Parts: sequence; structure tokens; C-alpha cells
Amino acid sequence: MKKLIILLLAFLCTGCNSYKEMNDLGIVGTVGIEKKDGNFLATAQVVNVSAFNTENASNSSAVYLIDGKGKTLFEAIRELQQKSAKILFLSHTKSIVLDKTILEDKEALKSVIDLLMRDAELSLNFNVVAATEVSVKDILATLSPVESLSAVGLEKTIKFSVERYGIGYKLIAKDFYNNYFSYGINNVYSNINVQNNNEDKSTTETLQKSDAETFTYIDGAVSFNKKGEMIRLNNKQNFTLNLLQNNFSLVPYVVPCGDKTFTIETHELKFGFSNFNNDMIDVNGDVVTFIAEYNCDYDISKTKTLVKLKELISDSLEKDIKDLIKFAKESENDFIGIGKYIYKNHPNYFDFENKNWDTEGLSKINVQNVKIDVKLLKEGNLKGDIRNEK
Amino acid sequence: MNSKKIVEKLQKIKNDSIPSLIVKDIKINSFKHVYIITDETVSSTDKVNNFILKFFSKRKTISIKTIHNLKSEIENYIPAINSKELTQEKDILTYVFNGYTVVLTDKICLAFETRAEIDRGVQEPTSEPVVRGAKDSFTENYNKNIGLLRKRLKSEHFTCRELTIGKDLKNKVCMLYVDNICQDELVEKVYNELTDIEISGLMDTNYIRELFKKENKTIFPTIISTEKPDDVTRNLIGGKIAIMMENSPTALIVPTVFIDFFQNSEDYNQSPFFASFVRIVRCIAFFLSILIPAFYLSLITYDQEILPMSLLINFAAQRTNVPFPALIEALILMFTFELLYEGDARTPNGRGTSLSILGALVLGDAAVKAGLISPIMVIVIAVSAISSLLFVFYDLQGTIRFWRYFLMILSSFFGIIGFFVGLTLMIINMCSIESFGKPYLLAYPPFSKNKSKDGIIRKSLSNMKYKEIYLTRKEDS
Repeated sequence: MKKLIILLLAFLCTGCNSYKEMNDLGIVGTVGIEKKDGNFLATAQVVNVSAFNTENASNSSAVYLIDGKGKTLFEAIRELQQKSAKILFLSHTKSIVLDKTILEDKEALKSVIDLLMRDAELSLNFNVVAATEVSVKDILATLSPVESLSAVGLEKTIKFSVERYGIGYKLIAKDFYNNYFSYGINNVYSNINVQNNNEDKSTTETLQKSDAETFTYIDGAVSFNKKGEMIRLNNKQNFTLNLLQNNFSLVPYVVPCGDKTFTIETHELKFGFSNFNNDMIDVNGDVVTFIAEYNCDYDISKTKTLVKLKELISDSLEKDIKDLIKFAKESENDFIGIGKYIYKNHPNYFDFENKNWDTEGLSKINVQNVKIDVKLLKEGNLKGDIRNEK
Repeated sequence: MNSKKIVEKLQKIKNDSIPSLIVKDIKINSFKHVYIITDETVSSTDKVNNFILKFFSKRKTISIKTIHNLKSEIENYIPAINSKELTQEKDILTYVFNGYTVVLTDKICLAFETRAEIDRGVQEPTSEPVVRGAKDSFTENYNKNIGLLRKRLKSEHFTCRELTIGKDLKNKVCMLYVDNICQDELVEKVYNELTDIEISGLMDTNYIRELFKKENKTIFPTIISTEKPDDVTRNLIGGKIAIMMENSPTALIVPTVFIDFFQNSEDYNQSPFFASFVRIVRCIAFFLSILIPAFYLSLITYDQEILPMSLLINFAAQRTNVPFPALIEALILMFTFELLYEGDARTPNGRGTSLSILGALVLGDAAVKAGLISPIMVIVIAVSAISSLLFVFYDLQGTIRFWRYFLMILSSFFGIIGFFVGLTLMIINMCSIESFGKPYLLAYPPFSKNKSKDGIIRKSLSNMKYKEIYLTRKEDS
């Protein structure tokens, strides 16, 4: 009996620490952070749980926004809590949208990262995206036409856009922190934009139209160097960056052949740097691919043509890679991670701690060889060239 | 022996307290009396009339010589299998109440078995339904029960060691085993435990289960009770011991290990693949039944970050209007289930339907619509309850209930940590139990390749050296 009483008391002593009833949770899908007039402005997109109740579904929107303002980011978040009737639950946050005003401001970015890393509740897998064209609030207020939760919609858009087309950039929190504290690499963010921003985007009526015109989409990628200077990557550069970092495996790629083009679909990709020696670096790559669309004049049924096509693919990729590195050097922003490779393998080559790699180191680097091994698995499901058939 | 005195005493008892006692005085001649004593409630009048009274009515007029040799006469001419000469006066009533008829003269006192059949016949098992396999079950008749086993085990090694337990009721208890299979030390151990029992009387074999010395501090059952003769036979040739007792339709099987609760005689009538599949399902059901309510509670009250977002929103949406904390909600539903479960078990068949309709409507529909309980909680509790119903052994259901509630409370105080601490405690408890010296989780820890051939996975019979190699054959020691 004594044991039982002691056990019971031990149970009661815990006071049900960290007990959270599910009804009291305000599940935050996306958080937006911006800076205005020296104040941090945090916006949270909270899931309106009662809209999902099948028994007595209300017609209200699936999410609602609350915002808070403060001298520090913590104050802004505390103000969020003041405005909410529920405990803001950040563990399931899918994305954090950082405004241009934060990304350009070195100190502000530092305090954002500090707070995010200190918070034990946040996971390490949420996306970090940038808002440069529209305001953070516009992105958070836009509902997704396909997903009931716009936070999930945004997450999936980024994922599939990168994995299937190589556009955008999937930056998750742990890489975000990692790159921020690493030498020789700058973070690249998906740039989120809103189609037809001025229309009413936060009502379900808008979404019920099949030609819903207001939605968020990936508007390429942006990168900020350590000084906070922004560069914008065009689609080709964006694609090549993802290619160099092996961020996808199944994507289409258009190769010119004379004045016409053919499209390949990659099957397996592996790229990397090697042989760094005296400012010269090699880029190696293996590409396994097959033809998805064929418009060239060469007779595809001949083996000679296939060898020719392989050369064309290799040349085109080589050109893209060289262009990308050239662009990085010109814009003084090593978003590719050449510096990181050098720092890891040849730490004595450059004084990363005291000098700025973007401006002083990167410009000296030249690409010596680009060795790409292309394997054409098959010509697609068609044998030969369909245009020769009569 | 003064027969006249004894009869007078018996007459007094008859008049005072036992009116069913019959004392018949047969005069052989003017000097000789033979008394027939019987109890009409436990002995068959037909048998008494046909054999004993007929004998005397025929011999009434025979010579005095016969009377001198009455003992040999009776023994030779009365066709009764079981007869016994009584030497002590106090034995007379004991035999009479056991269904014997006593023939008493001044010189001798003989008891003939004329027992009446006062029990039901062999019927289908009610608590352990059978789909494919033998459909007989034990009855309250001790001899019939042993007969059901003897019918299956035609070996001279099948031993029945009888003993009497109970100071007042003097119950006949029998320990059954196959002596060339069962380990000798196990037999001695069980026999000693049985003789050590001190009680005024037993009503059922299940009393013995409780009276066995507790070797472990646990709520897990270490003795299985069954009413199926084929189950008992299977266990006997597996080297186990069965304990039966008069007037009880259940046999106890010792030692019992954990995996026995997941096996069934029927498994051997199915293909090995199907039997193994069913056993795996039972295993999953056991853990599901204990763990699922506690796991759900810990997820929705403490560790919501473990749930995927879509599932979390789904759960939260269903709980929006529920006014109770999750633990109270779960306990309300659990308690309602216990009510229905007990109610259903004690309800005559005809009224069971109305109970289930009411239960399904009240629980499944009305409570959810009234917003008292969330639909997901109904699903969780229902899955848990249905899983526990897979086990026909009532004791195991008790164990499941205990651990289910224990884990639920731990989870609601400590979240997922409490859940895993509780689960660990349960596993530690299971690992430390012994059933008559055999480890409770035999073949799993301590792992034995040979013994696990008939564990959760049932190998084909040709792969197994014995039909049940599981436990305590002599070869194993």
C-alpha cells in the first residue's frame, strides 16, 4: 500500500508537464518573417482546424493569418501568441518565408537564425524560401487550389518543381543553418511569387473556379552573398545548379542539334568537383539518360548518330556548367559551393576565416576540364525515326 | 458389526435430516436380516432393483446354507463391477452418498456401485468454439472426463495419479500425465504442490489454480484452463501435466508458457501457412489491444509532433467539440465497453441482440453525434477491444485489461516516455516469470531453434520431431 501511495504521489508530482490538449493547438503551417521600419514583423499561417471537421464543417477558410510586431523577433512572436486563442504549435511548420528585407540585412538574418536554432520545438526539415517580388503576407494569404492546406501545397510545389523540372531550390532548415556557417557557399532560395496577386486570394469562392488564377508558384531561385547582395538565377542557371548539386534525377533537358533541338530525360545523375590544383578545378559527371523527344535531322537508327547525340549532350551540359561558374564569378557569389569543396579538401589554399571568398577567392578559380560520361539507355519507346515512315 | 444398532442410527438420520436415505429390511428367515442401504438421489433405482433386490427376492426361500455363505453368494451372483467390503461403520454413509448401495448383515458389510447418471452428456465446448476439429468437451462427470482422454490416449503410460484435497469436502483430484514423456521432476513438483494445498473444500479446478504457490509476482496467467479433451491430449503428449477434479468441466494444464495462449488445437488441422498466419495475427492483436489506446493518448496529449501534419489536423478536427480531456474520454468509452462486455457475457442468448444493438447505437453513433466522444477515439477503443476478444482464455483478457489501463494512465501522465517505460516494465515482467520452473517466454528468450519450430510460426508436421515439441518432454532435459 505504501508503495502504491508513493507511486501515485510520484505521478502527481509531474503535474503533467508539457501536457497539451489537441483542441488547444494552433497548428502553424507557414511562418513569414520580414522587417519594416526597424521592427521585425512575424506572420503565422494557422490552420483553422474546425474547417476540417467532417461532422459540422463550417464554410470558413482553412487557414487564418495572425501577425506580430516587435523590436526583436522574439517580441514579434510573443505578440503573435497574444493575438491567438490557441497555443501556437510550430513543430509542424512546413516552410518559413524570409522576406528580402531580412535576407539583405546581415544582422537581421543572424538573429532569425539564432532564434530558429534555439527553438527546440521546430523541426530541422522545414523549407526556407524567399519572397522578393511580393510581400510575405501575400504569400501566406494565398490559398492552394489543390491542397486544402496551402502550407502543404507550397511544400509540394517546391518539391515537385525541383525534382521534376529542376526549377527552384529545395533548401531545408538544416542545410540553411549549415551553409550559413560554412565557408565558401551561399544559400540559394526558391523565390516564391503569387500569380495575379491583386485578386481576392483568400476566399474559397476564388478557388472553386476551375481556372483559379491566384496561386503561389516558384519564380526561379535567388541567392544572397555574405554581404546581402541579391542575384537572381534564370531557369537555365537554376537547372544547372540543381544538376551540379545532384538535387534531382528524373528531369527533361533540351539539347540543340544544329538549328533544331531534341529532349532527353535523365535517369541517373552524378556530378562533382575533383582534381583541384593551382586555381584549376575539374567537373566530373555521369549521366544516364534516354531520348524523350526527337526533332533532329540525323538518322537515329544509325549507331553513328547515337555517338553524335552523346557528344551533343555532353557539349551542351559542359557549356551550361561553364556559363554557370562564369556567372557566379561575375556576380561575386559562390552559390555553387566551389569554395566549400576547396575548404574541405585543400584548407590551406585560401584564408577563409579572414578573407572574403566571394570577392577575393572565387574570381581566381578556373574550370580546367568538364568530363561528362553520357550513357544513352534507349531511344525512347520508338525504334528509329517516325518522320521517315511513309 | 451390530447391524441392528447401525440401522437404528441410520433410521434416526433419515428421520432427522436425510429423507432420501433408504433402509430396506429383508428377512431371510425369522432370525436373519439383511439390510439394504442406499440414497435415492445419487443411486439409480433401476440398478438397485435389477441386481440387488432381485437377487434377494430369488434367494428368499433358499437354504440356510446359502445364508452361511452369503458373502461368496453375493459376490458370485450379483453382477456388479465395483464392490467393496466395508469394515468401519463411518464408511457406510460416505459410500452411500457416493452412489453405492450397501448390503449389511451382522457378519459383513458390502458396498456395490449403483451410481445414477446425474449429469449432462458430452456437449460442444461453449467457451472455446471450434471450427474444424473435435467438438466434444468435458462434463461434470469425472469418469466421463477421464474416459474422453483415455479414448484418445490408449497408452499404458497414460497415468492418473489421484489424491484427495479438502478437509471437509474431500474432493477427488487427479493429476494426469504420460509417464514416459513427462519429466519426473515436474511430476514431483506438481504433486508436492497439490498435496500442500490446505482448504476445506474445492468447488472447481480453478480453485486449485489460485491455491498453487505463487512463484512470480505477475498478473500474466501461468496456468491455462480448457474444456477441450483434444487440447488436453495435445498438451499431455507434449510433456505437460493436466489436473482434473470431480464435478468440474475444466482441466488445468501446467506448466503454461506465454506462447500457449496463441496456439490452438485447431492450428494443427489447418495448413501450416494458414496456422502461422493466424498465430501472427493473434500476436499482433495482443500487443495492439494493450498498446493502441495508450499510444494514441500519448500522441494526442503530449507528443503531437510525432504525428504527420495531415493526421494531426484530422485528429484535431474530430476533437474540436469534445468537452472532456482525452484520458477521461478514453476512460468513459472503455468503461462503457466493459459494461457491454460483462453484460453480454451474462445475458441469455435471446437478449444479447438487443444489448449489442443498443451498444452499437449508443457508443458508435449517438455519443459521437452528441459531441461527447470523438469518432477516432471510438475507432481506437474498438480496435483495442476487438483485438482482446481474439483470446478465448478469460485470464489473458484480464491481463490485457490490466496492462491496457496501466499504460493508458502512464501515457496520460508522461506521454510517449511513459508509454515506453510501461511497455518496458511489461516486457521485464514477462521475462522474469517462470511457470513451474520453465521460463515464461520459452523459445523466444531464451531462444531455442528447436523449440520455436512450433512457436509463432508452425512448421509442417513432418518438420517437427514430435507433434508438440514445445515444452517438457524428457528428451528436452
